[in-house]
Amino acid sequence: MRKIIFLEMLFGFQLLGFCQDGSLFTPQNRKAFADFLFCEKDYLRASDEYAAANTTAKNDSVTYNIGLCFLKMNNFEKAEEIFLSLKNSSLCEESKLLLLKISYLQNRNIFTHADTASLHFENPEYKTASRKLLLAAQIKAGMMNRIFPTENILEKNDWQALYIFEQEFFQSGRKSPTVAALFSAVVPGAGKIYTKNYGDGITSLLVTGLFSFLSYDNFNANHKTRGWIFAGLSAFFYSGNIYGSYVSARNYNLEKEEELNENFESYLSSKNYFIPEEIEEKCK
Amino acid sequence: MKARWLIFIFALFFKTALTQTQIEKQLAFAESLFTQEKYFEAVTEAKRVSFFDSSHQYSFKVNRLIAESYRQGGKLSEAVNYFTKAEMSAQNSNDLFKTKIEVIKINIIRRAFSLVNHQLDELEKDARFASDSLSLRYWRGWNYLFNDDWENAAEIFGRIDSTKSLKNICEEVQKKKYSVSFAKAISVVLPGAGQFYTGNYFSGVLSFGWNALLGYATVKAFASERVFDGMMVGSLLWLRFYNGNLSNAEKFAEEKNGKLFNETLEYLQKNYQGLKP
Repeated sequence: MRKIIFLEMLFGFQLLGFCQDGSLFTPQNRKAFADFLFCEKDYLRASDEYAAANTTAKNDSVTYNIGLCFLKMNNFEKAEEIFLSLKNSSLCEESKLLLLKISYLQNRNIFTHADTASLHFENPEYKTASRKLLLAAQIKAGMMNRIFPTENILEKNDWQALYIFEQEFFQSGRKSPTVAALFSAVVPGAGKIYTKNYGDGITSLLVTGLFSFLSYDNFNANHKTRGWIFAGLSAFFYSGNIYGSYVSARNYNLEKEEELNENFESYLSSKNYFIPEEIEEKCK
Repeated sequence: MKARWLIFIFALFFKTALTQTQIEKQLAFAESLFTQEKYFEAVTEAKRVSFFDSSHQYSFKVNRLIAESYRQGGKLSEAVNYFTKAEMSAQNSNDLFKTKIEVIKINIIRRAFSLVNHQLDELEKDARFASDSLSLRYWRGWNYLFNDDWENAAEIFGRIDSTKSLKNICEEVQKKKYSVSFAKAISVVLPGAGQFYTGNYFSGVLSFGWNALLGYATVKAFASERVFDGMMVGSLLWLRFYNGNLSNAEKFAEEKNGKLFNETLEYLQKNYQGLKP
């Protein structure tokens, strides 16, 4: 008997609720649907649904989810605007951490952009995450006074990886353009070989050598005009090879830097910029 | 006691019926958005149906609607994804076949020709679709057509009674097509001839002129025992123009064929009344 009354009440309430709601478009239903869309990675529609759910009953967690949608869509400006509006909410720490990430992704100088309050975290996990991200930003910005923390705030692996990147950024084997040019002045093509541009180096040596020989040979055979033509060509290729070696060393350094930057970014991306998973992931 | 049971059963029935009515209305709304060509909104509303349809009663219809909307919006990967979901909720072999064909049609547009051939082979082997061999042949013909293989397309369409017009179009295109290897071969023998063959007369005359002039200069230098001059003019100038003549012949033939291909597809899109990818 009690069971029947309980079941009756249960269904009665549900029915009442359904009739009152009247549709699939109640804020609760919209939010549930938006969560589903978010987990399907349909962030544009999810943000629309969250926004619609938020119009009638404004809620910080829903606003935060809208910010996440924009962040996932790489719409950093809108995401930043939303997370800034949550600075005094219960999701303040999460928002601050994501704002740091946005600053990093937008290539801003975090230190001038963020104020002291933005870098203060109560949650120890978020504090660690923020310090790791700041360290990465220091390395990327080429700040010479970067500080590797002495206390145990970094896990061993992260610490080692960041330390190795730091070493590569500041002490990697760059090639000096002046040395490359000097090498090529002494032996044509040597500067290019020094910058690991072997094919060009050998070609430079052969072409300069060939034209020099042709010039010498023509002067010997008393063909003065041809001799001067080949001498001119030889001088042209010789000076071109010196300049080319200088440029080759500069290109070598740029390529190295680009490769290093790519590796660094891909490492940070694989670590999700040290942001704890639960801050951005709602789907299990 | 009896009355309480009756109320309970009525409440349960009424709630279920009300929910279903809501979902049906929502599905009709999504379909109307699709009809109005509001594809973004149609996807949103169809996905809402999919989310609230806990009994999965409308799964097939909804997934197909989402897939169709994505296709109309040019989101082909998402369309294939939802057609595949629809396949999984198909109630009978007819629905399943139709949905598989939709995937094949998208793959033809995406130019995944070998994948389409593989999918058609799989369907041909499937005993459930034994009666649909004509339809499979038809789509194989379209796959050849999009793959610029007009000869095979004509052969396939020729074996279907209702597609004789397509066969004629394919044969006509095959006849009009320029042979790239022929254009190159005649340019090897006579520089500029390949350009003439593809209708680029000015380029053909220029090519012939440069090659004749530089060829003459090279031969003359060798004949006067100026070997070095002959080698320089021959390798740095004549060979360069000769190679340019060959690659021009190839490029012009390919360009003309590409233009013919696009014009034919455009014609079929506007004028062909039968099923198209």
